[in-house]
Amino acid sequence: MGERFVLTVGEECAVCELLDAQAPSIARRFAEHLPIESFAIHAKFAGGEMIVMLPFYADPENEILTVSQGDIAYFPDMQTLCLFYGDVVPFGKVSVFARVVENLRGVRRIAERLQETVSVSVRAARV
Amino acid sequence: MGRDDAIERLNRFVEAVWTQEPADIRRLRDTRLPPAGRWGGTLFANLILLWSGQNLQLFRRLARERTVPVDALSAVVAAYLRQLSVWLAHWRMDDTCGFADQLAGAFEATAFRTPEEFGDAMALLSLALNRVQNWIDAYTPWVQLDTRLPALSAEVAPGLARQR
Repeated sequence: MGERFVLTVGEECAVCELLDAQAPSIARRFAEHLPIESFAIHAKFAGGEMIVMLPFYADPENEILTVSQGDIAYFPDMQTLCLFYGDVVPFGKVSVFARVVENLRGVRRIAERLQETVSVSVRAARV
Repeated sequence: MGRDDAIERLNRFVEAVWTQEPADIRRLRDTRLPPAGRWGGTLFANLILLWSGQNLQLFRRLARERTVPVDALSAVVAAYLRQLSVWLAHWRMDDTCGFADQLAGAFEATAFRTPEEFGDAMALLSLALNRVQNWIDAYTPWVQLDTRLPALSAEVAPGLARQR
């Protein structure tokens, strides 16, 4: 089992797990930068996806085109965390490095609202 | 500006734009240029910065693959940053313009000499410009723009009609 972290999106908290085996470099870089304060916006072209910019650059790793609900990926071109909360229209390969293991439903509620509210605060921290 | 000063400037800019909405974004949001008003500038600045970030990734890859020499890439990046500054100045994004011009000077002086140094600089520069673009996205209601603004048809935009 990988290291866990808490992702707080607005008033909802989700527990997530790093995929240390599949994406060791990105998982390590992410863990090194915790806690991370940022904000989320909604994806424009990929369906049910929420985006959070991260304060580091990493090269691609464990690249996947067709992701699943609850997958958390890194997109090197934009230095973003991509959280897939709903039906996704694959738009490009992303580096999957973590997964939501508790309260995807709560995050989905906030993420869907982003289509109207546009942005919301986000904090990622160790459990 | 030498390598160490340039890296310090890059880190300082990223730190400054990371946590709080930069003053540039407030000026961009409030600047109206006739006749398009505010949204034209926001969309232009957003997409110019988006493509800047993408192009910096391309320059980084070319350097790391040793496809193009670092001095040639540095000259291109410098010219690119100068042009970015010219465009963003239209919307009073003074801090980003000043940053771009300073960094352009560093690339003109070939402050980054190896592909690795150059690649690291591209990664930091990408982080800086992407964060500014990210702040623009944070106030742009993309979904509502689509639902409330239909694209014009030939009936209301005669220029779309087939020319005879």
